[in-house]
Amino acid sequence: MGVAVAICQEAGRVAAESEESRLIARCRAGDRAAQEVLVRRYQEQVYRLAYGLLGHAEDARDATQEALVAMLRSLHSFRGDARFQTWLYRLTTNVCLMQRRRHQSRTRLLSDTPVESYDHLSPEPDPESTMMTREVQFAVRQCLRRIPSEFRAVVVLRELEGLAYEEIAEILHIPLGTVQSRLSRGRRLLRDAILNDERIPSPYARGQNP
Amino acid sequence: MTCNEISELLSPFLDGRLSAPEFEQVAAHLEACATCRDELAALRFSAELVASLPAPRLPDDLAPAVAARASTSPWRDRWAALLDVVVPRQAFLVREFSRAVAIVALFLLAATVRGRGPSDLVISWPGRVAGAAGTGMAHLTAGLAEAQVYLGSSGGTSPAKPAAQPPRERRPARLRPSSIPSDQAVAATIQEVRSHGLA
Repeated sequence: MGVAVAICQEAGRVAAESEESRLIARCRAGDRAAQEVLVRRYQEQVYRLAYGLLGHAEDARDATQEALVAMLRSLHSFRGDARFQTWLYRLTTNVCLMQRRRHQSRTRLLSDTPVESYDHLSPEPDPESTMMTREVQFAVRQCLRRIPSEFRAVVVLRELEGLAYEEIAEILHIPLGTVQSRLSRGRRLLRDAILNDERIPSPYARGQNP
Repeated sequence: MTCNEISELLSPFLDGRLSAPEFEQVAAHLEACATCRDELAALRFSAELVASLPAPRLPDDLAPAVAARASTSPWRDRWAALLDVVVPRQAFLVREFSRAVAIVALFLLAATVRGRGPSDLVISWPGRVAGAAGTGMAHLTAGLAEAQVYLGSSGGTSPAKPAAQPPRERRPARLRPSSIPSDQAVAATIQEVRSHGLA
């Protein structure tokens, strides 16, 4: 029985993968309808990652658009040896890090002044997170933004995207040991930022690691 | 192991990435050391606060705009980005005219810079222009790349209903962001990581 279920699941996975590679082939051939289907399939995921990395709704939307255009234009360089999602995450991460650099040189958006209202945050928080008020969500996102980007990227891919160390290493093109050390450092920076933020209620002592 | 060494291992400890002997060493230390227990609990608390942020929803469907932009050449895209600052989007004729003027001006400028002056250009212009065209293109490319960097993306978007998306897969919340004493939180963490298996 269990074997039958496993076989069915495996068959389902293979079918989904070949459906996707057919879709990608149609996109490569310039089929506009197929391209829209592919974009719709991944735009929410790309946006979520971009929002995590940039911490700002409008910037995240711009970066999402940029990444998806780049995705369609560079589909020919996707060879199918990595998972499509991994490849797309890598592309998105690169676009976001570039966009961040350009913003930093243009303005100091990263100061602590709020640059968006809470309305930009998810309009309908799911039940699991209703215990976090909008203000706390906003504060947590700001703490995340304060971490230097190489550490933030690892923290976002791990905590927000729930990816394995191996996938993070592939996306960021860094060795596994580096994923571990950056995550370690990133989490400590995050903890210090969160514990020192008086908007975030915490059961733990503040300021122990300034 | 000292507290400092333990501190380095707490993050992989949370993810079950330590070898069995390392894990047992850390677990034994945690049972004896209140400072490290607090540190682990705080580390986990803040990481899970981030993990439990609700997923943002994309405000509109990007598919039509993205597919349209991807089918134009990247060059057109850069022009559009550059001209957006110079001329408002609606003024089509002005835009097209300024595009032509910009090209001519850039080429002349490049030619002038390369030669010693405009008079040089007039005397032996075919060779010079050919050479300058190359330089001009190089300048143009660099300039446009820079402009694009400063301008960001500029693709128009049409408001549309967001497409139905599969719900985000989330990890089960291991720790609620509430006041759990660190002793209990750490004991629970050790149990959990153990039961999930080690690296």
